[in-house]
Amino acid sequence: MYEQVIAINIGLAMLLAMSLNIITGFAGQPTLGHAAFYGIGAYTSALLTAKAGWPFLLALPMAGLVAALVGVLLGLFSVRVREDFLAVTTIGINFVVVAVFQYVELFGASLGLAVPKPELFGLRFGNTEILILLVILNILVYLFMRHLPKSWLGLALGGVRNEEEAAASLGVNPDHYKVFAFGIGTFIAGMTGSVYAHFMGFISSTDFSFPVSVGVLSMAVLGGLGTVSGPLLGAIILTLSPEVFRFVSDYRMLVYGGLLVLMMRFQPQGLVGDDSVLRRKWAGLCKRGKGGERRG
Amino acid sequence: MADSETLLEVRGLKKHFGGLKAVDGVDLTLHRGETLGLIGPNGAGKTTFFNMVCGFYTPTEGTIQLNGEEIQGLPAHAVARKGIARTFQITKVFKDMTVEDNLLAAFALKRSPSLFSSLRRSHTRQNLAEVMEYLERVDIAAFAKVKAGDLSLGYMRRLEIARALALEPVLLMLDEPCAGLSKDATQDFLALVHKLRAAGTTIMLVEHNMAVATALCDRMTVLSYGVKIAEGTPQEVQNNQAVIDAYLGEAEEAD
Repeated sequence: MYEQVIAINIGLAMLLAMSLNIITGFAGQPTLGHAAFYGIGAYTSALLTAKAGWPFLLALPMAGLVAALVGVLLGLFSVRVREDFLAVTTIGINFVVVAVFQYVELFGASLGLAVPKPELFGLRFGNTEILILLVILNILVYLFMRHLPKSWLGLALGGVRNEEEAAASLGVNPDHYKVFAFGIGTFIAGMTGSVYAHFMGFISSTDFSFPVSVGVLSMAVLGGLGTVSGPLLGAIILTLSPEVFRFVSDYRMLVYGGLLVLMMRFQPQGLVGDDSVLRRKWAGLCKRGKGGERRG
Repeated sequence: MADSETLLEVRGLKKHFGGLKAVDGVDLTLHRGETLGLIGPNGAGKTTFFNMVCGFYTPTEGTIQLNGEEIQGLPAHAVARKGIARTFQITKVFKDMTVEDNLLAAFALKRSPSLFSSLRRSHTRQNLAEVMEYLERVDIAAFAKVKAGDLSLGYMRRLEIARALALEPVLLMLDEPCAGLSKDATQDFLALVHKLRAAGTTIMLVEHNMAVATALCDRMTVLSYGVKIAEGTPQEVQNNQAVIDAYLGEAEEAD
């Protein structure tokens, strides 16, 4: 069903945008290669189920773990490079990972990999089951995101994002927390990749190429980096818009790129960030509502 | 060697940047409960010395003992965990976070010992109440929900001090706390430090301004070109010929 497929795409995009938000939004580490981890999760899950005969429900967390392992390695590396250098480095990682998928025989090379549809207690996973799984995963990750700003981790990441030296002066080891953020974010991206692989039934290297990373970043930026619900809104808007407007799907990269530039220039806090146009309008409406009540 | 009155014992501390000897063999003893001023003309090596004690620079040579334990060369976050808290000359508050969250971040040192325990909830009612106590101590409780980046410089300084105090440090280090403050804000700040002193806090402060240092310190150590040229009460230091020469020499050069 068409609506189901779109809902699944939105569910996948929301997970990716939220996971990127942990690394780039909360920890303040710019990454432009998030699709690499999405891909690592997808390929891990595909190989484990198709070649090693693992059940999907085991392959799912394993895909997250393998992606997180690579993510932690990248995190360890990110401790040495900062800001724009990190952004460039992560682009490079995205290209390297895609090249590995494309040229190594084990990953099906340019032919891609066929992924078996998962089964659970004899029930074959169709789109409905995938959708239910995505709803569950989204709720779990969203609850985590809600919790994050009110946790020690969120405060430590906030310190690292704002002033690394000041965070260190409070006893926070900035390196540990950056790596931890990379680990959590890439774990979620890896699991999302696993769901994607089993939903599609077939994966190839281009599914995880650089433009996908840019798309995910655009979603997070559009909604609001570092906000709890912004990336969800960004994911919904950018997944739906190509369906609604033909030109968006024709000029996808132009739209993503233009959006990034415009948001950074006019609303760097995103649609739902502090003091954004949307939030001011909303606050205005609320005030007017209250005023009316008082008068009544 | 270190008796119970000694909190910090620095011996032969050196920091060389290539050929530049920023700090060249400084000894310093800090007693419990005292306020020590580290003063000297521009480029004397005060801030370099300060940053070595806080773990932001690794000394080229020398030892730093806190309560008899050697801490030189430890990274900044480890030094903080040993009980040394600091503020910055150019304030480094967490701008996009609320004043309340800025302060709460300092509580993690005591409440969240490991990476995985950091997943626990920080904004408990008890923690938030304690945050307010610290904010009240520096008179910024009214701004608890304000973004730290929206505070005036004077209030940012207070927030930094409150944040440092929340670490419950054995030693509080202030790096030019009055730089850039208005006259009123400086007076308010002096009153705050007097309050801390009365409460028995051990303080080391770097200060460029002689008048501020004299008003605050029990003892002063004067650095010039990376070496200690004088030490003693503010009175003694002010009458010291080497100190007068160092400061006047600077004035002549400025002309």
